[in-house]
Amino acid sequence: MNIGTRKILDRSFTAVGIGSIIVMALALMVVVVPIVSNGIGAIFFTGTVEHRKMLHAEFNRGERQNLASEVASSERYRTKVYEMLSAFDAELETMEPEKKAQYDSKYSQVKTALHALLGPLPGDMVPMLTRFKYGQTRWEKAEEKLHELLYESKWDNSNPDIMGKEYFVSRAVAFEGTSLAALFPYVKNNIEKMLLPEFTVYWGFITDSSVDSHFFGGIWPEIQGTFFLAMGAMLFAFPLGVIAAIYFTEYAKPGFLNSMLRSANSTLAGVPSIVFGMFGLAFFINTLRVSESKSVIAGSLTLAIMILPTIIRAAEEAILAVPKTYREASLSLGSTKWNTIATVILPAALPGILTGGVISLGRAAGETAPIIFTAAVSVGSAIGLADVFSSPTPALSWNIYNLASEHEAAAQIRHVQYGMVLALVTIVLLLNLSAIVLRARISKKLKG
Amino acid sequence: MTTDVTTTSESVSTKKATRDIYLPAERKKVAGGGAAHIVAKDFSIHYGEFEAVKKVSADVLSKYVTAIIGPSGCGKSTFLRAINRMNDLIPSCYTSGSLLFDGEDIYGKYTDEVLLRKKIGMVFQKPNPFPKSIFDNIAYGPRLHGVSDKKKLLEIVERSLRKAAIWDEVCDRLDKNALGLSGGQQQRLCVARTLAVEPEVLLLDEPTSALDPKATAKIEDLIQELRGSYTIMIVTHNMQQASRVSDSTMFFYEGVLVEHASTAELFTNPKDPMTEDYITGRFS
Ligand SMILES: Nc1ncnc2c1ncn2[C@@H]1O[C@H](COP(=O)(O)OP(=O)(O)OP(=O)(O)O)[C@@H](O)[C@H]1O
Ligand SMILES: [Mg+2]
Repeated sequence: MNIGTRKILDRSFTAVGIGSIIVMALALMVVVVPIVSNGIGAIFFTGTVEHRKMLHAEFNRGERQNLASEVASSERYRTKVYEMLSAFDAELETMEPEKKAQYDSKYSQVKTALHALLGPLPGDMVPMLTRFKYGQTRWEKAEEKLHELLYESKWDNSNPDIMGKEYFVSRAVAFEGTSLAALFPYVKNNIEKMLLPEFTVYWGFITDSSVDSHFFGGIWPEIQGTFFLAMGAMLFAFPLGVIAAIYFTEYAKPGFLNSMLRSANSTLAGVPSIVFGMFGLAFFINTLRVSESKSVIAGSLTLAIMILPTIIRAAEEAILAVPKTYREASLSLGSTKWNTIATVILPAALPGILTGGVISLGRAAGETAPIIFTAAVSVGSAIGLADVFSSPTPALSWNIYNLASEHEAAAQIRHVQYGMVLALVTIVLLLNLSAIVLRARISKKLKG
Repeated sequence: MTTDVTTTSESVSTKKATRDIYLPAERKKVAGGGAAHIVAKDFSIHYGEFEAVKKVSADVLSKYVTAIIGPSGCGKSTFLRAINRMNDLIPSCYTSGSLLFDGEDIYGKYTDEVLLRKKIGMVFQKPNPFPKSIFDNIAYGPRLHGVSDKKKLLEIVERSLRKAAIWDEVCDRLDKNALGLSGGQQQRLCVARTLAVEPEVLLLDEPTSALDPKATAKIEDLIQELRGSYTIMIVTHNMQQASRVSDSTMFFYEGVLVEHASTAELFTNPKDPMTEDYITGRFS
């Protein structure tokens, strides 16, 4: 090959390489940008006085004095709304039954919307669920609810060939001529004074427990559960995996049994995680009875079994990559086999072993399937360390799935779901980053 | 052990006549040296089917320097590594015949190879420092054998490094990683590391092949210095070196020990025509 062709080949390969890296980076952006931009909204957002009321009532947080004056100022504007409602109630009493019936359902819709916007109306019963005890805590949601109050949504199905089209009708029109008509412009003009929106930084999203299945509060139980599960899995899998790897590489006699074991291990690494989940339920809970039912320990053990093959393989490769000459040098100085492993082989293999470990830790933190049947619950408070043997726990991976698919009010708390995704991604990324840093540091120490 | 010593002295007396041919004539004899420290008898080494060393019989005399020469691939390293059982690491490798150290069978059923290797130190053909600091490299052996006092360790480290003629180059960076040293420095570090264990026998596999003439001279000086206190075996491709530093020389060819005689004898008056061809460079 002459120099010209060689250069062209080199250059075109460089171009292809750069191109593929750009594609990869773009794909990553497509995933990461929405996660970050949506997830960050769980912590940074425009909160209303309802949010501050909720924080005070549920978490006893915030300045009492400040809050009291805020509430007083917002109440001043709200009173007018309530007065209009009672005025309309009185007006309804005086109406003839037919006319009254005409307003009934529309009026209750207005009241529902107002409740959603501002919280319980005077005279309402105290709601059972916390989510109904407050108005909108987030300003962007409040704006949506305001729209619902001002406009009735209708569907235009006149053309059967196309999908129905949504259109909005002003509710004020429906109440034309009654005392309630004035309510709509009033609420529209004074909504900010009634809700007092304000830029809010809610770090409690990370450290608070959830209130009323994630309607309010934070995701600490999930974060802690994830931490317990992943750490528990590591506690079992890491030592076991490293010991197994040492056995395979240093002690096992090559032969049929050994190669069988090794290929079994490789196969295990490729088994779908849901299978481990079923196995965990059948083996750890039903057979071994490590706990009565779902528990952190059962989940950790299941995750440990799942990540064990990866840890073994990583450790094996790391140990095999240690130059034979280190072993020779150590043995020739009169070191025993075990001492050689402990003082020369393992330190030299440590970067690889740790990398495998941390990546497995990230995997254990992120997996959903293995903990569905063994450890995860959708709602729960943070459990103490003593409860890991008996209690199940919420966990980020499972609760993201739960919020996305099973939560009855999923659409209203998307920000929580995104917040959890961001938290999980951050945890996994931090773990991987620490693996890289750790590896670099130890390698540097080893290379001198 | 005690019974073994008597067998040794027996064999020494019966072999007196043969052993003398290994001894240097004009050189100063070593006091207390000359006992058969390592004795090979019909000793063969196989790598699977392949017989790398064939029925070697030889005595290696205590406190003298024995050189091993021969063309590449003739089994010099294999033979040397057999003496401290480094070949154990190669699964396909096995031996036959007998190889005695201090009268004890090196491949005996009850031989403690760890203890054996402590007594028979080795410097390998390729430098192989640990990925640790220079200090930790040298201190590795002493620590292994129970020295933990920092001051004592430092003393041993300095003494060993000085003996291996590398102290001046590394004394101000003992805590730096040994892999940062040059190849020649690494080799001398490995010599120092072996000396730190204070073995009885020193096996050197081409210790100077990666060194410049100055460092080579230092290692050769070191060998001269250690001669008389250690039994030394050195593999070398350098005839001058063999004749300079050794008392007796073994010539291997294709796994066979062709000739073993005092160095002066072997280089001036080789018995075997093959030896003559090799040392005169007429070898193809
Ligand atoms: N691990 C091994 N497995 C199989 N054969 C081997 C192994 N090591 C060495 N051999 C073979 O044994 C023979 C002797 O090798 P050895 O390394 O002892 O040679 P040497 O005399 O030291 O050569 P050199 O001067 O090049 O170092 C060679 O033919 C080599 O190919
Ligand atoms: Mg060799």
